Amino acid sequence: MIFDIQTQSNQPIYQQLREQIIVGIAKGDLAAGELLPSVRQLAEEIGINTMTISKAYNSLKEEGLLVTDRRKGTAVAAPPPFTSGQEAEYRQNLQLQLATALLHGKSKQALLTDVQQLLDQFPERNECK
Amino acid sequence: MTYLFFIIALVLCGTTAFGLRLISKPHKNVLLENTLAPEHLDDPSVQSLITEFRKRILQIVGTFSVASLLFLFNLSDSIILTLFWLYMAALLGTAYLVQVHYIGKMRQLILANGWELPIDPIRIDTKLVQAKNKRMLPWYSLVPAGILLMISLYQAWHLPDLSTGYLMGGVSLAIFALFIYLWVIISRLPVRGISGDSAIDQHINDLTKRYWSLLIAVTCTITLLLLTVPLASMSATGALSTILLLLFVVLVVFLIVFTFFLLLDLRKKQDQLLEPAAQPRYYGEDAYWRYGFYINPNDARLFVPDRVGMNIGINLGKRSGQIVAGITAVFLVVLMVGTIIPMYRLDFAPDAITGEVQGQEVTFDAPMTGKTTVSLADIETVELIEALPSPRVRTMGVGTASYQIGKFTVAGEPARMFVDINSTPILKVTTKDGPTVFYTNKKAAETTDLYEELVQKISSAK
Repeated sequence: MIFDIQTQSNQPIYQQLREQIIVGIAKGDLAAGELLPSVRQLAEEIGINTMTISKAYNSLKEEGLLVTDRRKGTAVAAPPPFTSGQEAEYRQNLQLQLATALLHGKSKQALLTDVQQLLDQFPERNECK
Repeated sequence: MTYLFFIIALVLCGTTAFGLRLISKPHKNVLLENTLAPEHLDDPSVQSLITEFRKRILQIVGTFSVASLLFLFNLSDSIILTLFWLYMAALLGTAYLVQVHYIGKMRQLILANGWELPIDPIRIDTKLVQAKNKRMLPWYSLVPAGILLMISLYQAWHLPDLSTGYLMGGVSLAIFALFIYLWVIISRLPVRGISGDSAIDQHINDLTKRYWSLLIAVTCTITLLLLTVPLASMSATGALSTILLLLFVVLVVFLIVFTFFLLLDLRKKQDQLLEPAAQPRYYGEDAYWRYGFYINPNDARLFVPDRVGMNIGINLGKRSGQIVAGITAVFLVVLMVGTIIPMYRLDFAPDAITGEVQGQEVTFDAPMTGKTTVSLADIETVELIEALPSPRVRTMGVGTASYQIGKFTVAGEPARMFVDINSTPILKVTTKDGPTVFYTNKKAAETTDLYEELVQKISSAK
């Protein structure tokens, strides 16, 4: 997978990395079990402190999207279903995004089209039970 | 000696011209430290600036080449050495100022034409990053160098003179450690492809890692070999010592030629690989390169490859980088002053080289080396000779056309020299266990006086 990291952006690098990994997994650019560069390798590549990369990796590990094996390194995990807390947080975020778009004049139909278009980027995944 | 300085000066001129010419040829779309879009590299205004810059290089190097004739005059060592340091500072200083001037002009040209490049995001191919060192030579390419290190440590340990042994051993270890560190730096170099195409980026990365690891393995081995040769030649005599000296010169020449050719070849191949890239990426490095120095406090790396493609530079934006650069600068100044001042003392102080009998001891002293004290009871023979025996190998000290001072190996035996070649006779003192001492005062009469005093004291003691 290709990451594009904007060093001049206002968005922190760990956040850019986190988001790109999530989207990459959902799009299928990163398969479950696929190895990611080590924290040090990524830090060397961007020319930043290893702490920044660790921050992104650790938050993704907490969410169950990455897993670290001491010998092999960091790999993409098969994501577990939402916990009830995560489910509530996701609905809240979605509600906020939709509300903001509606307030800025987007019609419900336009929103549905947007969502469909975005969803089309992602391949079908097996429903988690 | 005079020829040596003349040749070194000419080589310096040649290297300066070569170095300056190199920055006037685009590498990875960088020309005179500024990044240009590929289509602007051949613009007539850019080309005319480059032609003007190259003309200046020729003028500077031409002038300094003529000035180097100065070293052919028969001047005293201290004056020659002072002139040499001044010459070097003037040559490198002028070359640097011209470079700064034309880098500025190129920047102005870019701004005037609105050619500034937008900064692209850093493109990271996760697969490529993980396999970035697969074409690096394996670690055991450094084993020959490791074996040579062991040999030179063994040689150093068995030197008759322990302090020289420690120094030699320390230098060998430091050189090996430095190369290992360089190996680590190379292994950590980012892929950070600028072609925007993973296949091209991979080729460039693989080639870079291959060449640099080969360079480190070969130069580390040869450098350590260079350290063992003089140690071996200390005990060698006759034809063998000539062969060893020849081997030393051949190795030095090979080391320089090999390094240049390998890095130039790498540079050329990197550019050939980059050529098909339609839209090369630009990561905004121009802002962090200031006249050959890299100053980027936001970059965590201490060492970065330079933009000419021939070196690894230090990041002066980091505190550790500033400390390393500061120590290096102080070391160079100390080296310069430390070599000039004792030379002045040797040339102009009448009592620079002394030999004095005090009580039951005789003490010899000279600039650039420590005192040597010999107990009169330990002296075996004292004689006056007209010429120094050969072969003479210097282990530590000064060896010029006029002076031989410090620790030497003379005809296979350890010796301490306190000799002004232009003053004869030479006093030779052999001792029971210690090194042989060769001494001349700058005034020949004083050498003879010391000889007579020693002969008298020794015979009266018997």
